[in-house]
Order: sequence, then C-alpha cells, then structure tokens
Amino acid sequence: MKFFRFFLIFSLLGWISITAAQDNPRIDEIKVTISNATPYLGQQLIYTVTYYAPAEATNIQLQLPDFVGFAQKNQPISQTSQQIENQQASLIQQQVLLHPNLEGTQIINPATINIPETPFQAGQMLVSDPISLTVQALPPNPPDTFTGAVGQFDLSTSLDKAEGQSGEPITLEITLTGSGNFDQILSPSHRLPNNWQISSRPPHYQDINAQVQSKNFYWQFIPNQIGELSLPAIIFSYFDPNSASYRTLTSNPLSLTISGEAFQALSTSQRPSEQIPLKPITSIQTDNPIPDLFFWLLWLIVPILFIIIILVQSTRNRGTSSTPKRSQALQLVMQYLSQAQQSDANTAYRLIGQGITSYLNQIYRTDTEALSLNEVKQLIRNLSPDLQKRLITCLEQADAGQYAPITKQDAQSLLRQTFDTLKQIENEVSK
Amino acid sequence: MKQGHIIATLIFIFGTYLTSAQSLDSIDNATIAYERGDYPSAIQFYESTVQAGISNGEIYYNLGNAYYENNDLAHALLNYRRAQQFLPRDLDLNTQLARIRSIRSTLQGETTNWLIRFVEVSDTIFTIKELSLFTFILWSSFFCLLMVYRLKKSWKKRLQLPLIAFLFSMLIMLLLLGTRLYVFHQMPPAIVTALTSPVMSGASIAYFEQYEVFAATEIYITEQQEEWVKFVTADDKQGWIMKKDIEWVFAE
Repeated sequence: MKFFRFFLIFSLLGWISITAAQDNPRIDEIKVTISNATPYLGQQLIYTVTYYAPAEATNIQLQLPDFVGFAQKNQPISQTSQQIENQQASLIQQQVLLHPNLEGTQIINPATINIPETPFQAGQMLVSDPISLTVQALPPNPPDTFTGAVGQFDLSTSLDKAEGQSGEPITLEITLTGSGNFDQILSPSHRLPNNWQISSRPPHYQDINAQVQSKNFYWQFIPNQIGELSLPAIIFSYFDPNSASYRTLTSNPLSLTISGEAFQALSTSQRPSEQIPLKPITSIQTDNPIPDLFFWLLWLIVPILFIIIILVQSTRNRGTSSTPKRSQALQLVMQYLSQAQQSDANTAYRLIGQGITSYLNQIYRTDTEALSLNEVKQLIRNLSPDLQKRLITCLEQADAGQYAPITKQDAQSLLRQTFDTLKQIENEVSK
Repeated sequence: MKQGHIIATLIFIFGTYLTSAQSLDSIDNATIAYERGDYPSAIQFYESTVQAGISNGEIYYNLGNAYYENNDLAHALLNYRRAQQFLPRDLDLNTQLARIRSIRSTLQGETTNWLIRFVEVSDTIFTIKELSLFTFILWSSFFCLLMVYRLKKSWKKRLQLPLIAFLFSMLIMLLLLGTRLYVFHQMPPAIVTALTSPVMSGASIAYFEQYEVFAATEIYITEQQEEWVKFVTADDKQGWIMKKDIEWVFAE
C-alpha cells in the first residue's frame, strides 16, 4: 500500500513536470506548428517556427524546410525580447503561408537553427520536429465556373470609365479580396462578346495584412457597339474550407455608354473583296538583313587613319622641341625683368644680367651662374649679327651698371632694350 | 588535282543553277496557285522556296498574302514582319501590317518599352543595312572633318559648327542603329502562332499562369530555358511562354 501510494505520487509529479515543460517555453528550444493538420487541397495554412534564443546569441540563421508539395509565401521574421525561466531571451518567430498542391499524407521537413561559433559562444545547430499533414481532396462536382480557388473571398468589378468614345479601349477590373491560394487563381471569365477586341494585362497583387490579400485582374476591350451597353455580371466560384462547400459569387452588372460612330474592327469575314495582289519577284538572290563582317571592319579604317595622322603630327612637333624650352626660358627671364622693374637701379642692372644668363643657360643647356663674354658669343653665334650685337650690348651694360652711378631711368631703358632684344631672338628662332 | 578542282566547281555551278531553276519553278507555281485561289498550295510552294534558301522582301510579302487569304493571321503577320526587314517603306506591306494589327484578338497597347520605341522610330523607314550605311557615311565624314580640323589651323573656326552638327547627327544615328542591332540580336522578335497560349510566371508548367496571349501577338524574346522563352511586349507585358507556341521572325 505504501509503495503504491509513493508510485502514485511520483507518477503524478512526473506528469505535472512533463506537461509544464511542454507548455512552458525553454531557451534554446525550436518549435514548429501548423494551423491545420487536415487541410483541403489549396487551403491556406500557417506554418510557424518559434525559437527562444539566449540574449547573448548573435548571427542566428534560420533555415526553413523546402515545403515540397506546397506553394509558400514567407512572412517577415519577427524578433522580440522576453523573460524566460528568469533569464532574458530573444523570441524569433517566422510564419509561412502554405497552400498544399498534392493530396494525401504530406511531410514538412524539419526547420533548423544554426548559431555560428564565435569567441563568445559555441556553435550550435538545432533541428525541429517534422510535421505530418493529411491533405484532403476537394469534394466532387464543382460548379462550371470553379477554377481552383480555395479560401474565403469577396468579388468586386469596376470600369476605368463609364463613358467612352467609339474605338477607345475600356478597362474592366475584377478584384478578389480575402484569404486563399491567390497565386493559383486565374481570372474569372470576362463574358464579353467574342467579336470585341479584348486583351488581358498581368494581374496585380496586394497584401492587406498578414493573411488577407487582394488580386486584381484587368481586361482591356473595345466595344463595337454604340449607345448604352450593359456588361454581363462576372461569376466566380470557390471552395470554402470552413463550410466544406463550393460557393459562387456574382458581381453587379456594369453599365457603359459609348458615343460616336459605330466602330467596326475588320474581321476576317470583312476583308477586302478583291484578292491582295502579289509583288513580282525581281530577284531570287538571298538577301541578308544584317551587313556582313567586312562592312563592320570598314568602320575601323577612318578612325585608325585619324589616329595615325595625329600621332605622326605629334612626333613631328616633338622634333622641334626647342619651342617649349624657349617658352620656359622666356618666362624665366621675364621674372627677372619684372623684379628688376621694381628694384633700385643697381639691383635692376644685376637682375637684368642674371636674367640674360639664365635665358642662355635654359636655351643652350649650360649650367653656369656667370658666363664670360666669349662664352656668350660662342653660344649665340647662330643668331643674326645684329641680334648678337644687341644682346652683347645689353650684357655689357648690365655688367657695368652694377657698380656705376646710374639712375632708375637708365635701368628702365636697359630693361626695355633687353626685353625687345629677347623678343626679337624668339621671333627669329620661331621662324 | 586540277581536274578535281574543275569538276567540283562545275558541280557547284550546276547545283546553284539547278536550285535557282527549281526555285523559279516553285515561285511560278506559287503564283499560279495563289491566283487560282488555292492558298494552301501557294503557301507550300513559297515555303519550299524559302527553305531552299531564297528569301527577300517580295517572297515574304507574297507568302504573307497567301497566309492572310488563308485566314492564318499569325503566319501572315510573321511573314509580313520578315518582309518589313527588306521593304520597310512599302505602302502595301504597311497597309497589310496595320490591317492585321486591327483584326487580331490581342489588343496591344501603346509602346512603353523605350528600347522598342527607339526601334519603331526607324524600322518603318530604313532597313538595318540602309541605316548602317548612312551611319557609316556620317561616321567617316565626321572623322575626315576632324582630321582637317586638326591639320588646318586656319580652318578651325570655320569647321567648328559643321563638326558639331556632324557629331550630333552621328550620335543620333548610332543610337538608332545600336538599338536596332541590339534588339535584333538580344531581343529577337517573334509572333505567337498558337491560337491561345498561357503565360507563366516561370519556365515550367509548375509555375503560376498569369494570363493568356492569342495568335498574332508580337513579342520580343529576352531569355530562353529549354522549351520555354521569356518575353516582353511593346507595352511591357512579360512572362514565359512555350517555344512551340511561337515562331521567330528571324532564324533562332
């Protein structure tokens, strides 16, 4: 009896602790749930993955299963902080909207949580349990207008304009709102007359909230009648899993007023009465719409010729390379002359002399601070005699004026003379 | 050896002559069949001519007429589009194209795709060959003018305005030519030849059907995957369609 009592108490305690463990979340636990384990084909299900992560865990990677046999739409992952077992934890949850495409027993493989190893945490991989579902077939004998929609829907229709001119296109918009397998739903039939020109545009999806969506279908048409027209109501059938029955929705008829002359698109029965005449075949050569490779190669000839000519010209210009050197030399001597203009007379004479020397150094690539008269004469021997004489005179005067009593006017006069002489030299050389 | 060469050349010449003679016969037979109202036979003769490698604007136009008279709008449009590459300014051809576009079930909206819009600027005026030649002339003239500009310093001021005008014209023509060639090679046009064809969101029937297209819809192919092609229309509709439901305007 005593033993039996102990056994009973321990069993009860064990059951309580197991139940408590199942109901109460635990850190580092991954759980998956499905909203309905026996759905109908195409019925919307919500698959939820929940993981309680330790607060310090980082870079958590959630990998969803493949969902073979289901159409899926992933919802965004949510992450919130919670207190679990007196510890701070992070609740990570992701929902997926599923629509089964295959009947019978379907297995959803496990989801995995992967926590990579870091210096602060050990690597970890957690795997959830798989989920087994039994997908039921839809009941037989659906209505003729049923095209595979499963869920709960509302139907509305509208025209982009209630009045139009003959020959203008009008757009019919059919909107389905609700929850269901929207991706698989085709447009309800527009029921417009066959002899109207009609085309469809790609449908437009909108998520109203996590489980409610809308899908808009567009039909563009040109009526070939004028006056007040009444478009037939749109009929849409779907299967409602809640009531396990097919339902049919009918929209209100739409009215339209078309004014102008009756537009009659040519139909094949209204083709011109005479046979379209043939064109005479003037040649039996095969013609190619695209020019051949040889033609495209010709395009390179003129630009290559242009580049060659430019390169040749540049090379020739480089041969007369004294021109850039001379320009630099002239700029240098102008600096000296500018300074001389602002200095006193003796300093001006000195600067003029230095300027002429630096000019000759630049031109003739000599590197001496002072050139003797004979050296200068040697350097400028290729210039015209008149220019040689004028340059020598400037140098002699500059040399003499450094120490002699001279006035600022004398310095200015020598400056002008030197400037003119150097300009003449430049002109002679550039010819 | 020499004899071998001579014999091979003779065989080639004879073969060419034979093919040409056969093609001429086919064309004559096609014309007779068409005028008699036997459009299926006319189609057969014209198709055999095209398959023999003889193709030009007139042959495609006549083949398009045969299909049109035989109430096959899709193939008529296909051959008229082929003829348009050779005879873009032909009034009869453009009339037929407009006629088919107003008859077909598909209501194709205004062109919103900018590439196709550029192509449409020139494809009813110039063939690609004519556009290439005209652009080549502008290209060569521009570079010649540039050479003179560089070499003759005294002419620089005089040449500035003509140079800018040539550059501007050349850039526009290059843009038109570039878009025509790009679309020809990278977005080849095709025509839907099936009566109706579902347009899927991916390259498989396992994907979702988005909408339908009807015969004589004009599309441009942007991608291919096995038996499927991805396309775009001039009014920017997109999707995947089965290859068996379309035909390329030019060889694949």
